[in-house]
Amino acid sequence: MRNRTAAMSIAEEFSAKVQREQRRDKLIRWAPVIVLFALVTIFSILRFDSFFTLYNLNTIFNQMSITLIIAVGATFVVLIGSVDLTVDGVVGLASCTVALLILNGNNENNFGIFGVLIAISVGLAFGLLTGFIHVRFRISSFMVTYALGAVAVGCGILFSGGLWAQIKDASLLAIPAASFLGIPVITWISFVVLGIAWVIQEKTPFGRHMIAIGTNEEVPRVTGVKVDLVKVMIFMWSGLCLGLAGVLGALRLARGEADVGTGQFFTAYAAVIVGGTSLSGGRGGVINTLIGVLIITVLNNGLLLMDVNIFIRSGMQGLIILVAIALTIDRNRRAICK
Amino acid sequence: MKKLVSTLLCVLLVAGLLTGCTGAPAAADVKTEAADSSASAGSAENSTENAVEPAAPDDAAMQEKLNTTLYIGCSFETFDNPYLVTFDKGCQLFCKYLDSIGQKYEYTCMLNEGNSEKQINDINALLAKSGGNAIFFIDPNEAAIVSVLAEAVNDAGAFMCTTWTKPEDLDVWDYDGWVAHHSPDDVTMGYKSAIQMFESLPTPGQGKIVALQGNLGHTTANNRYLGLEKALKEYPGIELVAVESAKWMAPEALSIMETWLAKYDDIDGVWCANDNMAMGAIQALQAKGLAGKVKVCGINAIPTAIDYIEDGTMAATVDCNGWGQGGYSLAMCYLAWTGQTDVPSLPHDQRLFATESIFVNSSNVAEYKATYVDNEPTLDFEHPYEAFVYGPYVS
Repeated sequence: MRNRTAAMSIAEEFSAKVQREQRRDKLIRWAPVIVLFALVTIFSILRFDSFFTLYNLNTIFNQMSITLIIAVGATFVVLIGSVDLTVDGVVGLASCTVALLILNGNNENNFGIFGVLIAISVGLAFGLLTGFIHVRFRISSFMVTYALGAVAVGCGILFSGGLWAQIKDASLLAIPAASFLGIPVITWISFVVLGIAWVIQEKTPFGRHMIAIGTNEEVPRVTGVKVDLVKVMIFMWSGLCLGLAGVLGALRLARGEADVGTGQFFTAYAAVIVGGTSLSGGRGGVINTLIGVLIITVLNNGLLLMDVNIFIRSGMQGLIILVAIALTIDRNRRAICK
Repeated sequence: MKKLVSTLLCVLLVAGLLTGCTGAPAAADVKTEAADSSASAGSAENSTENAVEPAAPDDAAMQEKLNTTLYIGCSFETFDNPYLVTFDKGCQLFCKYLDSIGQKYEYTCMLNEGNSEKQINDINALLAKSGGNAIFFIDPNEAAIVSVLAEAVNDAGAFMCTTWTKPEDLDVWDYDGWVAHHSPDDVTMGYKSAIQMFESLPTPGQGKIVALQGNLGHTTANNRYLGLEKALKEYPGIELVAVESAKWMAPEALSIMETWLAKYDDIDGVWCANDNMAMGAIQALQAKGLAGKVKVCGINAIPTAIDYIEDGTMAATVDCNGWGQGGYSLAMCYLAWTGQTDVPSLPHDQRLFATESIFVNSSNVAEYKATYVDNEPTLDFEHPYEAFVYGPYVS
C-alpha cells in the first residue's frame, strides 16, 4: 500500500484529494435529504397508523410553518456569518402587539389588517435597529441581538401587563383554520416567504453579495459592494420574518403572548444548521433550510407519536445539530479552533 | 438610510403607544366596587381554631407608626403570567387599605425575571432605604436564597412573608422578622381539578384522558401530577393514555395536543397542570372540532379559562388566590411592624400554613366571575390570620 502511494505522482495525489473533497461535499449536500427520508421511513413503519395519515401530514405542515418563516429569515443572517438572538423576543413582541391591536378581550382596539401590518413592522423595525447598531457601532451581532431580544421581551410583557389578550377577530382567526388544496393557509404563507427568499438568494445581485460577505467580507468591500447596507437589509429581512411569525403564532393560538416566541431561536437555528447551511457563513441556502425544518418537525412529531419524553427529544435535536455542525464546518478556513 | 431608520423607529414608537396605552387595564383602572363578601378569599369558616387576634394598639404609638413612612416591597418573578400579576393586585389592594387608615407608605413592585441575585439586591436596596421600616411579600425564585433573604430582613428589623418556595430544613420561627411562609396545596389542586373533570365526562368517571405537565423536576409540577395520580387511583374507569411536559407553555401544549390527536381519536378529557397549557390544548381541539366535547381542566383561573368554563369548553380550574397571597401577607407583616402581633410568640401553625384554593366549575363560575374577575375581591385586612390561614402546611 505504502509503495503504491509512494509511486503516485503529485498530479494523481492532487486528483485523488480533489475527488475525496468532492465526495465529501456531495455527502454533506445530500445528507439532510437522506436523513429526512430515513426518518419518514422509520416513523412510517413504527407508527404507520398514526404517522402516515392525512391528518398528521396536516399537523406537520401546521407545526413547520412558523419555524420555516423564522428559519428562512435566519438563513440569510447565518449566510453572512452572523446570528440573530432577538428571535424569541421579537416573535413574542409581535404576537402581543397584534393581539392588542386587533379585536381582542383586553381592550377596545380593532385595527384589523392594519394591526397585523403594524405588528409585522415592529419586527422590521427591530431588524433595522439591530442591523444599524451592528454596522454603525461595530458591535458583534451576538451582543446587539442578545440585548435587543431582552428589550423585545420586556416590551411584550409591558404592553400586555401579564394579561395575555385573547383574539376575537373572527376573520383573522379564520386564517390558521383555513386550507387551500388540502394544505393549511399558514403553510402556503411560509412557502411564499420561502419562494421570495429563494428568488432573492439565487436571482439577484443582493443574493450574490450576501454569499460573498459570508465567504470573505473584505473581497466584496474592495469591489465596491455596500457591505454595511447589505447587512442591515439582511437583519431587516430577518426582523420582517420574525414579525410575520409572531402574528401567525398569535393567530394560531388565538392569543398574543411572549411564550409564542419561547424556544423558537433554538428550533429555527437548529433547522438552518441541520439543513446544511454553514454557521461560518457563505455556504447553504433557503432550500437547505426547508429540508432542515422538515427534519426537525418530523423528528419531533414522530418521537412524540412514539411517546418519547420531551427532554429526550430536545437532547436528540442537540445531538443532530452537533453532527450537522461537525459535517458542515470548513476547518480549512479556521486559523484556530477555540 | 437615515429616513428609513427614523420612519421605522416611528413605527415602533406608534405601535408601543397603541398597544401600551390601550393594553391591559392598569391597576388604577380596576373597578373598586365592593363584592359579595361570601365569596371572598379564605372565608372565616376555613380558618384554624387558634387564629391570631391582633392586640389593640396604643393610640400614641399607632399614631407615630401612621406618620412613619412604611416601605412596602412585593417581589416576584415576572408579569409574564396572569396569576403572578394578582400578587401585585393584592398588594395594591392592601395599599388602598393603608390609604383608608392614613398610613404613610411607599409601594414598590420588584420583578426579577428569574434572576435570584436581582431579587436579593432589590430587597437589600429597599431595606437600606427604609431604615428597617419595611414589610415584604416575597415569592422566592429558588429555595437556596430564602435564608439569605430571611437574614437580611431580620437583621434590618423589617418583616416579610414568603410563599411557595422554602427549603425543607429552614424554619420560619428561627427568624423574628420572617412572619410567615404559606403555600396553596398543589396536590389537592391537581387532585380536585382532575376529579371535577372526570365527573364532567359524558359518562362520569369513565373515559380516556391525556395529561399535560409543567416542567419535570419542578416541585409544583410534580405535586400537581401527584394529585392527578391520586385521583386516577380513585377512578379506575379513567385511563391515562399519554403524559407529556408542555413546560407550562401554551404553544408547546398546542403542538403536543395536535400530535396526540393524530394518534388518539377517542380522548375524553385533557388534564393540564396550568391554564396556559389548557389554552393551547383547546386551540388544537377547536381545530379538530372537538372543543367542548373533550373536557379540559387547568389551574390558575386566568380570565380566558373562566370564559371557557362559562361556555362549557373547560370543565374546571383552580384559583390559587394570588390576591390573598399578596394582600394578606402584607397585612400580617403590617400587624408585626405596628406591634399588634408579637411574631416570636405566634403559634407555629400561624407561621407555616396552607392557604385556600378556590375551585371553579360550571356550578360556581358566575359567582366567581362577579367576585374576582369583574370586581376586586374584598379582603379582611384587619383579621388576616382568620381570613387567610387555611390548614396545615403541605411541602
